[in-house]
Amino acid sequence: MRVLRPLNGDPATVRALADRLQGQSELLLSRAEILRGLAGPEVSWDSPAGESFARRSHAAASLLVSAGRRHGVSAAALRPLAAALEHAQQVVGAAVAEHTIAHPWAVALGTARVEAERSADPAQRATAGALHCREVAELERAQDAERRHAEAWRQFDEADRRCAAVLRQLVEDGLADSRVYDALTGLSRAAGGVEGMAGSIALVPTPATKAVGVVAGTAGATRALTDTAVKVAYGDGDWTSIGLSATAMATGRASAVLKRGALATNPAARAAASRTERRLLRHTTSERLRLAAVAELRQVGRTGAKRPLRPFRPTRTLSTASSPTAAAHWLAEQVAGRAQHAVRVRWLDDLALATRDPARSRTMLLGGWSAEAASGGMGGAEALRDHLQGEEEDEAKRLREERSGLPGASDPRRPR
Amino acid sequence: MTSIEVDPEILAVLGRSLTEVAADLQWQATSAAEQAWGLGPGDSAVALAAVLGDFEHQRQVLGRELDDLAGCVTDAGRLYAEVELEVGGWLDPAAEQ
Repeated sequence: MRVLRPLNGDPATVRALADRLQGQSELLLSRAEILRGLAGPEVSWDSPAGESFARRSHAAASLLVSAGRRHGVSAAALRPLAAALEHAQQVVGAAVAEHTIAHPWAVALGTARVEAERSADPAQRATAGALHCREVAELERAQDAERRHAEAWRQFDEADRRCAAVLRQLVEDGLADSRVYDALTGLSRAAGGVEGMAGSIALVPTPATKAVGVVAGTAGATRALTDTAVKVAYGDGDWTSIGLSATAMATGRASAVLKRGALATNPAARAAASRTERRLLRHTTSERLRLAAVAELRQVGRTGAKRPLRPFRPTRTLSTASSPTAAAHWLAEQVAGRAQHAVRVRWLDDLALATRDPARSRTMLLGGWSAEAASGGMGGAEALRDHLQGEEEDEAKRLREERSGLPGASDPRRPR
Repeated sequence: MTSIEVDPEILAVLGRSLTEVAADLQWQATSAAEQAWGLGPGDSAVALAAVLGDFEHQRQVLGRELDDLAGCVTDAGRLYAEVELEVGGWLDPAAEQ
């Protein structure tokens, strides 16, 4: 049995939407008119401030006109669609109701007719003709309903195509976002979704689901970076809401941003006489994050990755023939040495910078240290990796010198 | 030289109105997208969502511009009223009392 599909939608909602868009359009255009009046040729601006206001007013008025036009034309396009939808829904609804009755009737009458034609009873066979007439009538009713249903759908599709064409033309007014902007914001939204989903799964304490936490971390970092890129490139978004999530901290980039932000200063605050004045002139947290994120992005663009200021060198080499106990001692020693080195070379320098200037933020610096410690860089694995890299470098250097025939290359006293 | 009449109250109202426009524009886009289902199963619902929602960046730029202009206009209106009151007091001390 064929089923006719109903037509969804609500003409009343479309009309209400059109009314609201029309009202919004009139409001936007009237405000644009006021701003244009303030910036128009009939008003003479004599002061630099007045000229600046007029210039900015004109730019805002142009945007208001574009937005108002979009709303107004959309409202005008929606009204015929609402009328067509209402008419089509009435026809479709009636056709569906009639078809729902007529078609099963026609099938039932056809079945009864066939049974009557095959019946041995002559009286039964005599009713077959009447049954056939009723069956044909019901089939015609059902087919008529199908025709009306199809025609109503065709009319709605045509109205919908016209409305969609008008709306699509509106998009060509140059107001639309660029592809890069769409890509960045889309990536941020997608990463946010992945982060939330993966983070929820990772809460379940099984080895398999814990691994999803890495996905959540990567997605969180991606979202933080894309949001930052949108803010830096387009000025959209809010530094405080962009924030610095724990997952982004795990990448190590957030710690750098926090530290940069902590050290950001401005001469006015530094020269302030009183503590109150300094507090008023100091960078806010949002400003610090903005300055730091911009600087960090530039750093990434220039060098690709941040390099340590002074690399840590192992305090002594570990022989390949060392016992496991000796290796463990060596590892503990290197971890302690690495921590001391980090505090001495990196953190104390930062603290000295932060404390020397009262306009800098020690609180944010502490946050940066915490993030840096959390993201590693002082662990035993790092120490072992550096040791192995150092050994490989020494071996490569020795081989190069042997090949070039330099004196001392074969000196057995030479440390390897 | 062109002279213009400035009413500080009107400037303050204009400032408040501009701030409301910026907030209202964003709300309209979200609200219209939520009601687009009413347009039925065709292409118009998607096209309407695009028309009202694909200029997020320009909308935010406009919001910032209008907020700034509203601040400037409100400040100008307030300062104008203060100056006018003060100058009026100098010129006519009796009226001020």
